[in-house]
Order: sequence, then C-alpha cells, then structure tokens
Amino acid sequence: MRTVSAAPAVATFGDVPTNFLYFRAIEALAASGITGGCGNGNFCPNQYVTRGEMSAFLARALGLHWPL
Amino acid sequence: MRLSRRNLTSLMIVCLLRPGALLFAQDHSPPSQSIPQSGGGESFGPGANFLVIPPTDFHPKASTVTYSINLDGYLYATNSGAGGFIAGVQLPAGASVVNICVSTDDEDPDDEVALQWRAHEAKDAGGGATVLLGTGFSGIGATPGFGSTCVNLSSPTLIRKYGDLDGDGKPGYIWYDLEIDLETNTPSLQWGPAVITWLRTVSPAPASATFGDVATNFIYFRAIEALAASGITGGCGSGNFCPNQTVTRGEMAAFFARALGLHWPY
Repeated sequence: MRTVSAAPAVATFGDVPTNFLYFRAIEALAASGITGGCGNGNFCPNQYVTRGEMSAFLARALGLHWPL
Repeated sequence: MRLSRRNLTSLMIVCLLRPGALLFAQDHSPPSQSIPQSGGGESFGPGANFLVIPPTDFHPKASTVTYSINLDGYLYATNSGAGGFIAGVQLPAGASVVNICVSTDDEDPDDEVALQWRAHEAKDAGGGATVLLGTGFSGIGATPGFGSTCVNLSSPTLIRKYGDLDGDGKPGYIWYDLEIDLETNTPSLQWGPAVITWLRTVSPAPASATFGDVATNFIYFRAIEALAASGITGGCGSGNFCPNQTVTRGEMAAFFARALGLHWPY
C-alpha cells in the first residue's frame, strides 16, 4: 500500500498550523516541490482550486512530459 | 460541491508516491514536429527520487573475472583480472538524472573500478548509435573498504525514449545502461548496488496554444499544455479549457482517474 510521510514538527505555511486537518498532506506536497503556497508564506487551504491551478499541481506531481 | 485546495492536496498525495506513473501516461509514438525536441524543462522541489539497481541485475560482459553472489546481495570477484558488468536503467521519459553512484568494496589498493553511463539508439538501416554521457573512476590508492564510485555528470541527463542520437535523420527508440568495469588483484572485490538520483521535470512550453482561452503567455500555459498532450484533459468544450473556473469533485475524479490510469483490480 502507498503511504504518506509522517507530519513534520514545524509548519511550513502560516495558515496551515500543525493541528490543521490536512497539515500532513500539505506538508508532503510542499516538501515534494509540488506547491510553493499562494504567496506571503501561506497556502490558502480553504480557497477553491481553479482548473489552471490544478493543471500546475498535476503536471508537477506527475512530471508530465511530451513524448521524448 | 466544489473542491477546495485542501481537499485537492489529499488527493494529490497519491501521485507523489508513484514515481513510475509517468511511464504509463506516456505513449511512445514518434513526436510530431510541433512538439519541442530538446530542452529539459525546469526540475522542481527538494524531493529527489532514487532508482536502486540491485547488483544481480548487472549482466557480465566478456571477462576474465569470474564472479559469484554473496548472500548479502553483492557480487564479488572470485579471481583476479579485468571484467565488465552492464545493467539497463529504466526511468520515465522526462526524468532528469543528477547523480549515479555504485557501492564498491575496494579491498586492495591496486583495485580499480570504472563506470560508463550511456545512451543507445536502436539500429535502423543506417546503424544504431551509442553516446557516452559520463564516466567515473575509483583508482589505485583509493582507501580500501566500502565506498562509492560515482559518475561525473557534466550536466543532468534528460531521459528520452525516442530520438536521433547519431544524426542520420532516422530517429529510433532510446535506452540507457550503466557499465561497471573492474580490475581486481584480489578475489574479494565486491560491487553493487547502483543508485541513480533523478528529479521530475515538466515539458518546456510548445510554440502554439492548444486552447483558445489559454494563450502562450498565460501563467499556467505550460502545465495545461502538458496535461493536454498526455490526454488527461480535452478542455471544457468549444476549444477552450476554462482555466479560471473552479474544479468540481466530479471533474477532479475524472482528472485523477485518467492521470493515474486507475483500474479495478484484475
């Protein structure tokens, strides 16, 4: 089975504290370079995702490439 | 119900843990002319991926070194002499290889370990091609004991599956291998595993836009083109992608199912 990293001790984003529901998942995304947050040290976890933003997340997560 | 960033994040985790996912998302048909043929695209993130090749995956070349396998998984020379061992390296297209090292046990100061990192193009009527991408060496006088012999990469290797390495105008399928060459004066020299460190990259942006509402200067142009080229999205209809529209949970399910090639167990 796949697993997700254990939560780190310190929070990366100001608006995602260690007791936030999705803290662990958001930290895993940040550590993998898939997200850098929404600016000013925040992640905006309750903001809706646009299709454009989602494309950036997916392309980075999968390392999408033209056929090479 | 719409999807918030935090919900998306949970779903995205699935992708992180699947280094080979790109392999399945790619088709290996020859690239069309409109697709960039070179350029690595930026790599991102501190997160590196490691491909560990077990010693037993290395095949012997013609060799005066006979060898055997330890119960700890290492190969070891059972006589003195010179020999080579080769393993194929399987990585997804677009992977950026940044480091290649082999664990070696240099028992004698006169032992030598040399590495060759290569790309091969399949043979066509004009013959095939082999390109040496980097070499590594641990030579005479190295401190005996377990250590690493690494390839000196002048630049990261962008993994391709198809191309024209020999410049004969006839592209062919491409694969990669790593060769370990040994010169051993003692029967105890041991080698393997090889560890290859690589990063994911996203394609450079193409010259022309696929969707009417995602122009080449749009902030997410490159990512959206990568999704479209991979067949994960066909847009929102009428030749558009609707990039500023929020994502519903249903749309999200479709994106993920296609991106990951999700299937029932069978």
